[in-house]
Formats: sequence, C-alpha cells, structure tokens
Amino acid sequence: MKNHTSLMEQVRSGYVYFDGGMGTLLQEQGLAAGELPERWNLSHPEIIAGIHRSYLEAGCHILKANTFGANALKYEEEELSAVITAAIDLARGVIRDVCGGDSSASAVGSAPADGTSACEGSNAGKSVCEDATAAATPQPQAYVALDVGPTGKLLQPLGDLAFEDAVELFARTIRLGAAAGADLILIETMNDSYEMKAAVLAAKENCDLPVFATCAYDESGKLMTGASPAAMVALLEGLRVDALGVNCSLGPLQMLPVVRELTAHASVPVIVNPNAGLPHVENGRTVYDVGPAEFADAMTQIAACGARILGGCCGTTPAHMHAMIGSTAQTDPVPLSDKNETLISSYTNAVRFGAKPILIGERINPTGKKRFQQALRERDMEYILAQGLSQQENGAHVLDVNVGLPEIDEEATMDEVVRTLQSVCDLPLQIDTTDVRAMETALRHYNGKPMVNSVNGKQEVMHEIFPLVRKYGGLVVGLLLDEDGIPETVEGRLAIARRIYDTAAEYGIPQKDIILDALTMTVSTDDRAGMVTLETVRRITEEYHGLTSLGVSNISFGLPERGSVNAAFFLMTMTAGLSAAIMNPASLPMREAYYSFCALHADDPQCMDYIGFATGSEMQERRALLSGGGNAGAGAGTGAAGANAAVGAAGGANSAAGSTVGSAGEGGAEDPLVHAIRKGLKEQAAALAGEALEAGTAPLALIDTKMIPALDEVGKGFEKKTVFLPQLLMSAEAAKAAFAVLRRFMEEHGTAGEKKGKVVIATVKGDIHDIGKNIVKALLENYDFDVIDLGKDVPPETVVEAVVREHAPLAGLSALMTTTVPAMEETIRQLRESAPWCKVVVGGAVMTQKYADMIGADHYARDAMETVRYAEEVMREAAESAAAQGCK
Amino acid sequence: MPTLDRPAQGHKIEIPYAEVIRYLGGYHMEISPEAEALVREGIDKISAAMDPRACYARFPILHLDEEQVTLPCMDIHSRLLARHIAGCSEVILFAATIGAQTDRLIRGAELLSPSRSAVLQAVGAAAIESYCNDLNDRLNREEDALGHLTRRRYSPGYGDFALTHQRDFFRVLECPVRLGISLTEGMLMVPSKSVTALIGIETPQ
Repeated sequence: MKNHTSLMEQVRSGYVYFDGGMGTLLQEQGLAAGELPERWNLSHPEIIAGIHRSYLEAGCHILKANTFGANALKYEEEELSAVITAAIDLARGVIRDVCGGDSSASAVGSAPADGTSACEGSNAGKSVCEDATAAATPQPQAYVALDVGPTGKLLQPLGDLAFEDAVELFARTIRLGAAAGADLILIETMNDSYEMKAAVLAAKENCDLPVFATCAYDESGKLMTGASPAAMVALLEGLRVDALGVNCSLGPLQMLPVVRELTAHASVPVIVNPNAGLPHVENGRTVYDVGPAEFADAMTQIAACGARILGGCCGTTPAHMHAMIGSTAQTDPVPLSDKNETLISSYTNAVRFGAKPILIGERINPTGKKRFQQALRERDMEYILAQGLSQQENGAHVLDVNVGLPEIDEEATMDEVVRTLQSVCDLPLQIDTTDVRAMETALRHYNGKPMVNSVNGKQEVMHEIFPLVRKYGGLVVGLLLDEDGIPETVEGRLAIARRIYDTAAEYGIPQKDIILDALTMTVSTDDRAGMVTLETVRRITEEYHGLTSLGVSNISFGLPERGSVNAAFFLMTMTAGLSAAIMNPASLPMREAYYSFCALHADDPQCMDYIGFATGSEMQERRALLSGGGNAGAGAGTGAAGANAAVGAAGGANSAAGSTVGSAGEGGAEDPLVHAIRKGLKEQAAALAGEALEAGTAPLALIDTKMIPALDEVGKGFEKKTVFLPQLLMSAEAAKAAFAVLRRFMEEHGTAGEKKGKVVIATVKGDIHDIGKNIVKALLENYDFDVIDLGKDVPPETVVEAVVREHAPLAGLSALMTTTVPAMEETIRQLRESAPWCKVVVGGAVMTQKYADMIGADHYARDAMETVRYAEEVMREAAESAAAQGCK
Repeated sequence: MPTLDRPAQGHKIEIPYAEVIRYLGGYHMEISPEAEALVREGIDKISAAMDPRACYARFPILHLDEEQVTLPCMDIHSRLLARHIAGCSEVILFAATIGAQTDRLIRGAELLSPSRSAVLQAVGAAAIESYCNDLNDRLNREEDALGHLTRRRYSPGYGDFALTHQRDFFRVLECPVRLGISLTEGMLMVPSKSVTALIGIETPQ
C-alpha cells in the first residue's frame, strides 16, 4: 500500500494532526534574524531532529520538514538539493527512531522498536506510537510533508515574477522533495491565489503525492491579494488538491470565520494550522499570547466547525499540540460531505450557480462586430477591456471571452486578453474558444476557476476538453448537440445531456461542474423552437437537478423589435429554472426582466437589487427622455448631480421649439448641446448630437458652431483656473460621446474625413504616473487627433518604433519624477536620430521650460490645453509643408 | 520582526473631501454640482475598496552627523534627512499601502472615463495620506507616553534622500510578503498608493 493512500484513508477515518511551529522554536535556539533556517538541516541537524521528535511524541501525525523557504531564489542548485534532502531525511529518521517501521516509509505498522520508550514522554492525548501498538484499525501512521512556502516575490501583474517562472521555481523544490521521499506536499502560508495556483500546478506536474494547500488569511478574512475563502475553495478543488485550509497570520479564535466559510463550501477535508495568537516583543524576544490550554479549547471549536486536519503554525509548540490532541481526540470529527455546490471564481470572488440566475456578458466577442474585430487585429486591449468593464457596470456576474478571428493568433490573443482583463476586472471569466491550445493556455494562466465554453455531445470534443478541465478545473458548458446536429426534440437533447454527464464522470468531473446549454433556436423559422428549449431547461432542472444556460437572444432573429421578444423569452426561461443566461447586460429590457424576476422569485431580499436598478441613473435618464421627449432630457439633469434650475429652463424652452440645435443660442438660452458638453453630460450630449443630425444639421457645422466653442470655453476656463480639472475631463468625455455619434453618421453617409493627424504619446520609461498623459489623450481625441497611446513606463525604442511606423508628425512625452527626466532625454535623442521630422512636446509635474530646453524638446506644454494648441500648430505646419512639397 | 498594522476594527480611515479637491487643483475654485458628485462618488468607491495595512520597525541610530545617517540596516547619505532628524537617537521605518484594488479601480476608470480616473487618482492619494497620518498619530501618541518626541515622517525621494533606499525599506520591512507591495526597477511602488517613510525619535534623557 502506498504511504499516501494510507494518509488519505487516515484523514477519512478521523482527525489527522500536523505538528506546530518550527521557525519560532529555531529562533529560541539561536537562529539569527535574516539567517536561512533551512541551512540548519545541515549545520544543526540534532536541533531539527529534536523538534521533530517532540512533536511526534506529542502525538502529531504529520511532520513538516524544515523546507519552508527552500527555493531556487534563496539557494544555489547544489545547496537547495542538500537542504531539502537533509530535511526529509531528518524527519524520516526521527519517525523511524521513535516509531520503528521499515525504512521505505513512515509506516508505524508492525513492531515499534525503541519507539515506546520515546513515547512515554507523552502523557496526554494519544501518541502516534501508542496508537500503533494498540493495533487499532486503521493504524495511524506518521508522515513527512515537504513544506513549500511562498517565494517572497509577487507575481505579475501585481509584481514582476512571471507565472511560468513561479511554476518552475516550485517545481524544482517539489522534484527534490519527492525524490528525497516526502509523503505529501504541503503548500502553506500563501497569501496570493495566483502564486498558490502556480505551486499546486508544479506539485501536480512533478509528483503523484497528495497535495495539501493552506493560505494565510488576514483579519478581513481575505488573502492579501483579495481572494475570499470561497474563491480559494473553488480554485483549489478545481485543481484537485487533496485537502485545503488556512494557516499562520492569526490565532485560532480569529480564524473561526474563515474556517466556517471554508467548511461551508469545501467538499475535501479542511486543514487548520493557526498561530499561537498574535506576536509581541517582550524583552527583545518575540512571544505569542495564546498558551497551550487556550489553544486547545479554540481548536476544539474549530474541529466542531468541520475541520479535521489540525495543527499549528508560528509560536505553537509541542505543548500546544499535545494539549490540542488531548482535547480534540475526545470529540467525533464532523463527517466529510460533498457540498455539491457549483462555484467558479476570479482572483477575489466566488460566484455560485444554482441559486438566482447568473448573467454572463456576451460582448467580448468579435462575431458580427466590425469595431471589435478591428480592435483584435490592432491588439487594442483598451477597447476590449472597456467592453468588459462596461458589462460589469451593467451588472454582469461573469464575462464570456471570445477572441476568435481567422487571421489572428488565437492562443496568444486569448492569453493576453484573459490576463489583461484580470488585471482590472474581478468578475470570473468564461473562456470561449474552439481552439484547444488557446483553451489550455487560458485555463492555465487564468487566476481562479473559470467557465469553459464549451463541449458538446461529440466524443472527440469531450475527449479533448475534459482532460484540461480535470487538470485546471472549470465549470464546463455542454451544448446539447452532437455529430448529428441539434436534436429537434426534448428527448433527443436530454439523451445528449446524459452522455455529456457520463463522459465527464469518466474523467472524474462531477455533474456539478457541468452546465448544459439547451440551445435557443429562432422562433421566426420554427414556431415550436421556444417551447422545445423551455421544456429542455425544465426537465434538466427537475429530472437531472442539473444546471442550464442559454444564449437567450437567438430566439428573436429575423423579428422586428427583438428586445421585447428576448425579454419575454428570458423571463420564461428563468421561470423554467434557467441557471445562467449569456446576454448583453446593456440591454435595459433584459435587465428589467432579470431584476423583476429575482424580486418576484424571492431571490432578492427586500427587493434591494430591484430598487437599486430601478432608481439608478440610467433608468432615471430614460424616464426623463421618455417623459419630456427629445432634448428635455437636458432639463431633467443627469440624476447623478441632481436637478439644476438653469438647465431645466434651457432644456424646456428648446424642447418646446422642437428643433434643438437650430434654435439654440437665440433668446439668451444656452444651446442644449453646448450646455451638455459644458456640464459634462455624456448621454445627453450624444442624444442631442443625434437629434441635431436627424433635424438636418450638417455634422461639420455642429462641430464648428457648437462642440468646439463649448470645449474651448471649458478649456479656457481651465487655463484661467476657473474650471476644475474633473469638470474639464467630463466635458471632454461628453464631447467625445457626441463626436462618436457624428463620426458614425459621417461613416454611414460616406463623408467621414481624415482625422487631424497622428500624435504618439507616452509616459517615459521608469515612470508609471500617467494621469497627465491620459488627460492630454482625452483632449487630443476631442479635437479629432488620431492618438496612439503607448501607455506608461515606455522604453525609448518603443516610442521611436511607433513614430516611425505611423510617420507621426508629433510625439508627446510625459514624466512626473525627476529621476525619469534622463529617460525622456534619451527618448528625444533617439527620436532625433530615427525620426527627424517628428516634433516633440513634453510635459508633466517636474517639467519646466528650462528642463525642456535642456533635454532638447521642441515645446514645453504647461497643461493639456496647451498641448492641443501646439498639436494644431504642428499639424498645420505639416499640412503646409506637405502641400508645398506637392507643388514642386 | 516588523509589526503589522491595520486600522482598528470599526475605525474607518476618512478621506477628506477638501483634500481631494486640493489634489485636483480645485482649491478656491467653484466646483460644479456634477464635479462634486463625481468626487463624492470616488470617495465612496475608494473607501469601500481600500484595504489599508502597514508594517513598521524601530531601530537605533548608530551614527548621525551632518550628512550621514547610519542605521543597523542601512547607510543613508542625505544632508536634508540628517538635518531633519538631528538630535534623534532612534527611528521608526514604516511602509503603508491601501492595497491593489484601488489601482484596479483607477485602471478600469482610465478605460471608461478619464474624469473618473483623475478623481480616483486624487482620492487614492488622499486616502493613503490619511492612513499614514492616522498611523503616525498613533505612533506619536505611543512615543509621547514614553516622554519621547517625534519628527514628521520623511520619505525616500524627498530632497537628497535617494529613492534607491526604497530597496532597503523593502528588505527590512519585508514589504512584498507582508504588505503585497512590490518595487519596480525604477524604484516605484506597486500598488501605487503606497508610502515608505522614516520617523525620527528624540529620547530626552
């Protein structure tokens, strides 16, 4: 029998006890601050062995080898191998000495040699050896855990350690530990979900030992990088760890809320290894405030919450473990149970399926969207991220991510989009691709447990995708179609459902990790299409107790006023038991249906979500538009800022006049479009621009007579310090929204002109402050420049490359710190060399005219408006010189 | 070992509206209701997202002259710092952050709305300052009770206190592991709303 099989059997049959602290005991023995504790495996083996021995005698089952910090960042290859091998050998040797057994494993089994005498020191609880001699079944044994701690570095995107580099670091430690004969891998004290994922993958890929994983949660009940216990349960069970839990950071009582959340969600055994309370310094020594008796009491409460692998971390001693074992051993462990709960997660939050319906945003998808396709081809991550964030603002719970375009590298693009989305958006993602390599890379690099879109009844597809889900975890969408297409009958679809469940089970993927897409067909081509889908959803819910999802809006293809049909169908599917809908969260009718359903279905306590939705700014604005008609919206104000009497008068007057723009400015009332831009009212500016176009105003006239004057007024106010910076930017955004309407109109009518010219902007290398640069960008875009924004911390070569590629007449560089001015100077030097035509404007908090002259810039701009004016000047000159060249 | 700090339970770090306005250059300016609403919304958002934490440790000053400050863990050449802590015999080094979520909010806002992103930047700056003030007040009170005097906090990057000492702060205070702050090649901290500083302590005999 393999030793690790017996470990898991032991966990299933009762409490298993870890040992307690090592580092704090070593400090007492003279380990100096900053000294690497693992070196003591070689220099002070008798001390390490002595600590192991006292834990074993206290009754502990698992010894953590002294390898917590043993990784390739801290040790050279040879020493790393030596300290790890010595650590495992020391623990193994002590077990052999104390409990006897053969040399290959730590089995206590047959005949303890001198073990009994060593165990006599233990006078409370049951020592491992006493159990062994009692020959109870199953016999408890003692085990050696390779102890794997954090690298001490933060992973990207928060820090600079790449995910795959982290996996490789852990892999080196784990290979050495497994080769030295560890019985299990304990990954502990992790405070970042992504680093935990790297470590678990390394363990799974480099040995077949059981993997135990514990995190350090803080007082807020979260990991330092934000993950909740439920999110960690989702991630770790998805990665198929054998046990999970919490260690370090807190004393046992402060850990109770975290333990309760873990045991509420986890189906695998839960580990709890607390500190002996909180540390404080007494006479130059670090001491912990929870003594053995108090610790034992608290651990009894923790055991009653359902934890069954118990031990200690910093500050705990053999006496703590002895007391804990003595008191918990008298209780019966809470039985292990499958919680049968479907969870997915992002790097912070878990989302649970099976309660109220989950909204999956469908907008990150190029199908039928020209603008999105263009963004993918140009790797315009900002556009793609904005699609994600706006869906989050509109209430999506999960985002579908589909980047499939024939001409792009889908694997690389999917990887980049998933990582970038996860740097700003904390919603779980649904990876949507038919490219298996893209799927694997995305699943591997995703921080959390994602949704996997999709498999179907085709054997080939299932055999490709299920192994990935088995390895990385995921909630898999199963489409109810197969080699023969989409069955027209409910029975046909249910048969495929059964097949998907059964095949998943062969891979060890439980039904709770499958969500079936009952498939929405178009009702305009088949009268019964809606009914078949609804009935399929109902029967999967009732007969299989399974989860279902649908792409709802397919139902209305070919019909007018699709929104009405979609919303009605959505309501019907939710009533039939639908668990999740793939939909456009920007659609108001869909959200109306959703929030109403949840309120009526007792899924919305006190109707709070409904009220929040119905009184939100968007609904208010729509009501205002409906009630006043036309631009009366301006009169109602934005809702965000409250009513404004002066605005109301202007809006009202104009709405009476009917034609908004034509009559504007007359009679003293401010033009509503000018007003909307001045006030920074985005939606209104866009709506008013649209109305003016419909009323026949020429787009260019609108720009010249309304929008630019409004912007100039605000810009001048900003320069004179009478207009507040956020106000300037709000106006810029409102103008941008109006411009977008105009541009669309001109494109549709074939009158879209060239933009004013290209400007490459960047915050220079070494500087990550980009607020100033972003303001400049917003204003330049307003004035219709084509802005190529390279972001922040941009190396000189990248700026040069972009300027040359775009043949941009102007580059704008920003720096906030004196330390990065040399990088700016270097960028200018390289630009002069490779792009002599390009003018350079500089700005930023530390910039002055003097500095600008010193580093050879063409212009110093005091603020964003000045950059705009300079850009206009440069473009005018560029155009003139181009014209002059043309004449020659 | 550095001591970890978090605001006491139930004690909320206030983000003063007037400070945010000041950071945005709006001091003495008329603020439109729309802009005020945006700022107040930003304060609510960052208040909900911020996760203030700090760690600090105390060290004796081994040597102090006009241009040199020697601590057990670092050697600092800085006339201005030396002058600032002249007469002190100990220092507290601290690092503080309001966490990564604030940066994510700002990054998200950059994509959707430059005005909101500018406001969130300012709110984040006001928030970390406010937390540092809160922590400093508590440390000052503790020192005060011992009859010690404290100087105002002083950060790497001020005057001639070289930014490269960020490395020393990070090593001594174990910032990446304890606080989740990391240091870029250019010595900037990520999350961006983070502060490292030194407080001089005078212990009159």
